[in-house]
Amino acid sequence: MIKYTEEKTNNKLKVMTKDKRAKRASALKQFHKEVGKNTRVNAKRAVQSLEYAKHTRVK
Amino acid sequence: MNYSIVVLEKNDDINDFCEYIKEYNYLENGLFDRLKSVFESTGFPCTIVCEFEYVDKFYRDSYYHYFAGKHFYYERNCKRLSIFKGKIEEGLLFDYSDKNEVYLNSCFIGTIVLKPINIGKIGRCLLDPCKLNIKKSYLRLTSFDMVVIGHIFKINAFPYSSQDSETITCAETTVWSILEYYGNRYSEYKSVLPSDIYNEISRISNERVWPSKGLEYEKVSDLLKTFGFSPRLYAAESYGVSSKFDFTNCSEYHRIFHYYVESGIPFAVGIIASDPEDVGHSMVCIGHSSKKKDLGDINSLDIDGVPYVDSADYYTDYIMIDDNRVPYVIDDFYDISEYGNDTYVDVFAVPLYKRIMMEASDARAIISQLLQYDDYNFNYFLRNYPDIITGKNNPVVVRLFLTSSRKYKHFRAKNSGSRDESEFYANCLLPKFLWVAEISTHEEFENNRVLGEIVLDATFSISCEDQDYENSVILIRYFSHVGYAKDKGGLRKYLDENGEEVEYYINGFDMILDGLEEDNQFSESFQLYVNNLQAVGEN
Repeated sequence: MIKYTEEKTNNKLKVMTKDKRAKRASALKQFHKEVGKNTRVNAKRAVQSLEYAKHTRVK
Repeated sequence: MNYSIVVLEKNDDINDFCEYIKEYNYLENGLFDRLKSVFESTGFPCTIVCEFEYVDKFYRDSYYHYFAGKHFYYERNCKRLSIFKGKIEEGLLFDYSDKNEVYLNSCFIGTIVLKPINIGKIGRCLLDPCKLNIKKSYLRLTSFDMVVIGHIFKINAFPYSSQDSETITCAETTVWSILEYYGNRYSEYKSVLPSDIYNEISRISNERVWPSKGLEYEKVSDLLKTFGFSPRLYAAESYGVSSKFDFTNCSEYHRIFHYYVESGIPFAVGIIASDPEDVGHSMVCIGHSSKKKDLGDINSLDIDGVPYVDSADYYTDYIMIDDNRVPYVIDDFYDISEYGNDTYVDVFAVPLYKRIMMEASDARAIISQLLQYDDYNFNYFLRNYPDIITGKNNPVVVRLFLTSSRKYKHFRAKNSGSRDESEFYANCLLPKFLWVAEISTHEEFENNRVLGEIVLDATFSISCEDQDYENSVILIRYFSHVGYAKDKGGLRKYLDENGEEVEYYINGFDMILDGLEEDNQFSESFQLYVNNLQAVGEN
């Protein structure tokens, strides 16, 4: 049997300080908040679009 | 003889040709002009094979279900015109050698069916835009096989038909055209005929369906859903637009429209005049022209002193399949003057695949926040490349589109700068569909090069509640830095500040960020993704 590919593994552990972890958590919270604001507007528009589409007749 | 062969050498020959095929007196002015425009775009000379007794399944369906029940006589058969570029000698049309068939296929432009009815005489048309004289554009086409005097020809086209206003109006032809395209291209869908559309409308309609009085756009979407899609409707009014004059430059509504065009998804577009009493019209958008707006006419968004523009704002001209005009017409999104000066895009229905849960506006919301996310925003990486000078004349450009992972993998692996890069893309575990945001500068974008990309999972669903939006991110590549989320995350080992081993629960997004901290063998810029649309025409 000829095996061309080998699984590449990287066992070197990365450093995660408490500060870095806290910074990431706070940035992620802000990210959720900002995306959430926009997706709520999008959801509202989706409902409205369906309603408006009932009144557009094409011929 | 069931057929005849005619060569048109100049524009004036079109009148004689219509007289010859005994259609001249039956063609209304509008239809005659349309036929003339088609021949003008094929160029002269051109050779036409006219079949006088052609069975067209599309018309035959309308005939059996509708026209056959009328008092006055309607013919069952149609005429079919098969058009070839240049003057083809008669002998060559009956030479069935392989070499000659290849030559004839290269000259074959397509077919036009003429129906034996007075309104909507131009029936099913399949014309290859690569062989027509049209402006340079990027379109979605699919392959069709057809038999003409014993030869099997293959062309790329988008199906077109005009409306007969009794069995099919613009609403039904829009649905038919979309289904004819998808049914020929993908095994998941099937083509439909007017009676199939009639049957489905009958189920949801409270009164008779034929003669057709058109459809509300909600029903157009309903039909697409019935035939196997998961459509999404976008109405201009929900974006604060209730007349043509409400549109501002670079509007959000237009951007959403463009993302789907860039994704290579042909979709239904409903236009209407500002007068609420008017009935609208429907057509299919299949691509965009290569014409770009000047950078000065595009609004930019400032992120930490770096201007960002949306690539959607460069384009306003779109390629339409409109049953009232010739195939492949170009319309300006902000100025569809063909139907009056106050006409605008009022609604569009995008036939999405059933597994695509994330729609364009949500993908955009996530991408726009990711670009600014903490220290991992794009500007942070851009600062490491002082040679790239961004500013008003060279802003950062973001291009968003949807694609399948099959095509994405193939394109990236094929166009990579190294074996490492190809191997990485080939090995990525990806969902069936992806939202991709390519990031570039204006100058690099003009050279079809990009500096980064963010890949989102299009099967990720967004609900109204706050949720882990970061789990939709699968891959981020900024220059040669690549972070990839293999799974949703879990407990992973790290070293703390004292060098001690600790376990943290991390999500997939953390994995991406960890990956981004490392350099690797990837090239700093890579090829712009051009797998969704096909380039046709001359500049």
